[in-house]
Amino acid sequence: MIHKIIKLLKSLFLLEILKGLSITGKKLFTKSITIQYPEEKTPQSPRFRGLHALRRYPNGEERCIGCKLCEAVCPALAITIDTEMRDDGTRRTTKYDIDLFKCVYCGFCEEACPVDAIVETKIFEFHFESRDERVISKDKLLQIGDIYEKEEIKDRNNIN
Amino acid sequence: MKVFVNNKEYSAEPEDTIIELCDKIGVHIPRFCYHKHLSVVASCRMCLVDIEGVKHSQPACSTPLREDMRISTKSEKTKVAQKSSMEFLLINHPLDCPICDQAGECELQDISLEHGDDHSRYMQFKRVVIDKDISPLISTDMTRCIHCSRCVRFGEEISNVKELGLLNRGEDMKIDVFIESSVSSELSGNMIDLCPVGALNNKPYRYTARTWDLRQICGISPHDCIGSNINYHTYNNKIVRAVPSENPDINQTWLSDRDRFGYEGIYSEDRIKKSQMRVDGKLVEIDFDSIPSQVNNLINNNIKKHGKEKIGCLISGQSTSEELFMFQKIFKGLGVSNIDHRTKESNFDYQKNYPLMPSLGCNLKDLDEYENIILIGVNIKTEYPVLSIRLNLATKNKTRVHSFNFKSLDENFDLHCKKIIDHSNIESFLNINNIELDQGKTLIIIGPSVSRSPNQSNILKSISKFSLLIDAKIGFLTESCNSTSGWLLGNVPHRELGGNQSSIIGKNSYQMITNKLPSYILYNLDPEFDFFDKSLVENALESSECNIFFTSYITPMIEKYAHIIIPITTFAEADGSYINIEGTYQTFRPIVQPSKNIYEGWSILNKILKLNNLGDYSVTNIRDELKKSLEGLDFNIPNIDMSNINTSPYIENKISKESYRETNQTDLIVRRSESLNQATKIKNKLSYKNMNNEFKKSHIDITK
Repeated sequence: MIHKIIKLLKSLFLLEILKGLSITGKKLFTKSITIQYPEEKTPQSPRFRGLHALRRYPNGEERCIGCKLCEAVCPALAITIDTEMRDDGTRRTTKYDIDLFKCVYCGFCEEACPVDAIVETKIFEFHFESRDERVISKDKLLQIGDIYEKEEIKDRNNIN
Repeated sequence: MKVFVNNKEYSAEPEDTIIELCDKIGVHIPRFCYHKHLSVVASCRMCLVDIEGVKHSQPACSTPLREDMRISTKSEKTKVAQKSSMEFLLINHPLDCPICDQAGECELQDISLEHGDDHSRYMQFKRVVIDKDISPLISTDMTRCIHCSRCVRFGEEISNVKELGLLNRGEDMKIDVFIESSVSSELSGNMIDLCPVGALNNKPYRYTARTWDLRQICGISPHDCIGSNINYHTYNNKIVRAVPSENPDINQTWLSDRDRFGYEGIYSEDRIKKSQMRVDGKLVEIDFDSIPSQVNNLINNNIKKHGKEKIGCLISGQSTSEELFMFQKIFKGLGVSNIDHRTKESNFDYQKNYPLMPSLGCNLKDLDEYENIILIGVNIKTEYPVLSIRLNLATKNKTRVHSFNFKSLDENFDLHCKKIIDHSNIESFLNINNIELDQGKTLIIIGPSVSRSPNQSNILKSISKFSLLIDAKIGFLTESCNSTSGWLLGNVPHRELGGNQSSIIGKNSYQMITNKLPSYILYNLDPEFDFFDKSLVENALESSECNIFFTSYITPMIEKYAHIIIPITTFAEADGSYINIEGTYQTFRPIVQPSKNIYEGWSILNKILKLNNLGDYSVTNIRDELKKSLEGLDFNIPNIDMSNINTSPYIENKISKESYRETNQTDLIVRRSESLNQATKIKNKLSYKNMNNEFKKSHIDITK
């Protein structure tokens, strides 16, 4: 009986609405947390795992030695590698494809790499205009690596 | 004898060592230098085990068993010993597993994971060894070497060609050669398998794939009649390497280089990709669908036009038993009796008295039971490298091997006597006064050089007479891997399936070629190399009206004279089987898929068979019928009597006298293997006779 009366009083005096409005009122005067996405961006962790890149040594030589450990460890089977002996006798890849639809961005490839060749950059905004573009080749990966090398080094220093 | 391993009682043979017992009972002991077919050196110290009552850990490979011995392979003391040994082995081993082809199948990797420590205390400089190009087949990364000396002992004990040696001592110790590129024996590839680390590795395979990506499919060697078992490793539907599959009765754990690298031939550039037909004097590619009926029409028209006796059917002895079976089924079914697989021979007077099939007369593993082995017309070292390992062990076991050959060639085992014979004077050599025979059993092995001799029948006759005189067994070593099937499955003009005499005796291969028939069917043959005389074949093909080629490769002569070319699969792309020289019937599955327009040989033949209403077979049907016709055959024929061969007198200049083949020239696939060709080239360059002084100066480099 008493419960019914309390309920009636609450709905009669619109207590719930006032409670809600008080929160709105408070937030009206605090700093907004919404960001204007393309112009503004949220901060990223130095460990963020985004689009892949292949790195080079400072002298321009590609780091990847085609050991295929990333291919072996990849849980989504997104990486395909073919290797050969380059003319100077070193082991190099002829093909290094990553299927970005398959990739789950787990970062295992980064961890498996003995020479820090494959890394995941902080790039998370990329798109394709056709399905074929989802597979990114070695050339493209190296290009991404060239562009983002400085950021990579910075991130790596931050992690350590 | 009673011994205890890890507190469990086992009965053991007194002559066994600890490691042999543990291998038998399935207790794992890590090892590097020990190998069951090699001598024991106990140099790696990895197999140390704890024995009760002995103060220090003892190497299991060299410690003989004792009554009531208590061995512990898992005790704390053993573990400490193994961990310490591992630490020493890893001091100088580079950490380059990511680029090492051995990674994934590396004994050092496995054992260090299991028994080693997880971190390294060694901070000083590591040893670096400069590599030499030792062979076109073996790549070297000598920095990785752990000095187990398996490769050195293989050369000393198994192949008997001492190619690698252990130089210097201590820190400077290294496995090396004196002359660059001088590892060239026919068995050198086995060192790749023996090497427990990545120091010696497969050169053509280098960096193409990783071990965990490979699929393994068992095959049978198509290059010699021993029938070695091979595991082919494929990656992306391509064979990337071959390793031996252990078969204690046939090849043990060994493989000849020819078997190991011969597969490269199937990726040769002259591989024919689509069926072709001659239209207005030019070869035009056509679809496969119409091929069986076209071929069938051609055959039947030729039979109608010229008669059954005017068609020549020649098949290679390298074809699978299925193909040989289907081939004779079609042509014997159509009434053609000119069928032959002995394309390299020229003298056939012997054929009526020849045994049912050529066979070695004994099992391969029983060769060391003979006190005397007489080799006639065969160079085991180059022609049957795997067999030379058996004979090498037999000679050490007091077997006397006598060699009679048309050319002076070296063997890699000890010969009691070596004589050069001529095609006409064999009788003067086969004389009891000439041959010092030991008391006991004798085996005469007749090799392919005899079958290629223009005086073959006379030679066989005199050998047979001699064997009866000294009560010896006769064994054969055949030209191709499946010649035995060729004989048994009726691919000879005078015999039917299963070896029964046929009523009509057709023309043999020599008559077919010299009589210039109006139509030829060549199956799996290179007209350039697979015949006794190239020019005779060329004349015959030129004058004939219709040449049908079933072939995997296109050659200039095929291109010039073919009327129709039907591409067929090689051994690697089809179901098949071979009968080896001791009579073992071995089947195999396709290793890789053939390319789009190439079909299995037997299935093409089956389509032609079906069009003639002569039957319809599947692989299982063929094999069932094969087994039926081969039932009850005994390959251990006691004595072969060929002494009543009717021979014609020997004509000196009948054909060219060259009867010896290079080891890498035996069949059409091996001839196309690039790395083997390169190996032959380097070997010829290095042979001492061809070496000029300048070359000697630049290449003999005594290591500093």
